[in-house]
Amino acid sequence: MDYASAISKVIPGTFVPDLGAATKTSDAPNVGPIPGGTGSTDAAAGPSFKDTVKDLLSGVNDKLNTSDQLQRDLASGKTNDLGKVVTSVEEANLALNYAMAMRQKLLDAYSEISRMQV
Amino acid sequence: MADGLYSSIEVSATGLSAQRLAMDVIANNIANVNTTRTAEGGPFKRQLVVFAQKNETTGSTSLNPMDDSSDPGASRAGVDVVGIVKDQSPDKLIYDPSHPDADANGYVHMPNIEVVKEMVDMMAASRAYEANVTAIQETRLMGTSTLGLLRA
Amino acid sequence: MVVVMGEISFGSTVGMLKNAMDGASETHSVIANNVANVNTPNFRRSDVSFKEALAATEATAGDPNELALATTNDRHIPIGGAQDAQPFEITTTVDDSQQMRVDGSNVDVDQEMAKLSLNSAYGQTMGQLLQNSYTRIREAIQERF
Repeated sequence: MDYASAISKVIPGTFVPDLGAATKTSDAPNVGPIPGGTGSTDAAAGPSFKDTVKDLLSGVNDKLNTSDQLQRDLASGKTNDLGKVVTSVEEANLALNYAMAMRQKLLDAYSEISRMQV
Repeated sequence: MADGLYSSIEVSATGLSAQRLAMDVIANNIANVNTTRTAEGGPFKRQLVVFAQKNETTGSTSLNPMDDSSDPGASRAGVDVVGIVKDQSPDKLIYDPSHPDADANGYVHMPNIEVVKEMVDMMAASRAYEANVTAIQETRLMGTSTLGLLRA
Repeated sequence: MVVVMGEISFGSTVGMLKNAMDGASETHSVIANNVANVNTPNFRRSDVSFKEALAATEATAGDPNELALATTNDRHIPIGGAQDAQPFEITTTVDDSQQMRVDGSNVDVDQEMAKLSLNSAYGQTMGQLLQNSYTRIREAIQERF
């Protein structure tokens, strides 16, 4: 699950840049019903919203851990590849920024929904 | 390559040391251009420095430039001075019977040093030294510009 | 960054980067001293080593395919297996090698200047990574990204 399909599931039609996810389940945004809210137990309905968010956060966590380990290796001399370390740090930064931006979008969406008159 | 971050700086350092030694030898040659007496007898003989590629994996210096070329893992650790040898070309013979060191025929054995050639060698050593300094600066510049990615 | 019972811990990466900068700063002092003594008769240059100690501050899990030596006594040397984290120590050693120089000092000024340059580049790299870590933490705290 990558960021592109994650955010497309929440806000259909949104275009998000590809941050180099290793596996992409699909390129096209999924303009379907919001998953996990219909109460359907159909397995073909796709992963739930909770799983989407969890996958996103674990992806960010992985990037942060990789970057931390590479920085420690550089400091102790186990690796000498400065380019790899710097790019991993920058990708971790971007992933974190991206996750924070999406958190903001989710909070905004939630407060907008809760303001709706039913 | 030599182990460590910015390891090419160590490689350039061997170049700096080697060129400095070459300068010392050349300066010594120029200073002794007219020396007719030495401790081992005879005139001063021109000295020259022999450089060899330093190979880090074996720790030895290789005089054969084709050595280890088949082994891609062999590391290049810079230059090493193998020795300072005497130039065996013949002495210059100057006819001067009044010189205290003139031989039976009135010829004086002078050192086989051409000052002009030594000056050229000195310029070459100086340029090589500067080139090594530039290489070190460029290595640092590469690291700094890579880190510049994190700045903005 | 972890906050437990009012104590803030910034994580092992930031700690290691700080130790690396300490090591680099000590190395700088020692090399500068070597350079200052390039013409001192019979001077012996010193070296600083801290990178192995830095690597040892991380506890390693050990290779599961490797058989570690059993240590039943404090004086047994542990080889293989998991290693505990060791406190960080910077060691300075004196280089006793002889140099064929008239004044007897074994300082090669070119080597020292190159070492100085290398160490400075390393210190800058660690500083830059540390600055990035702090900035990221600050962004997360202030929720400004």
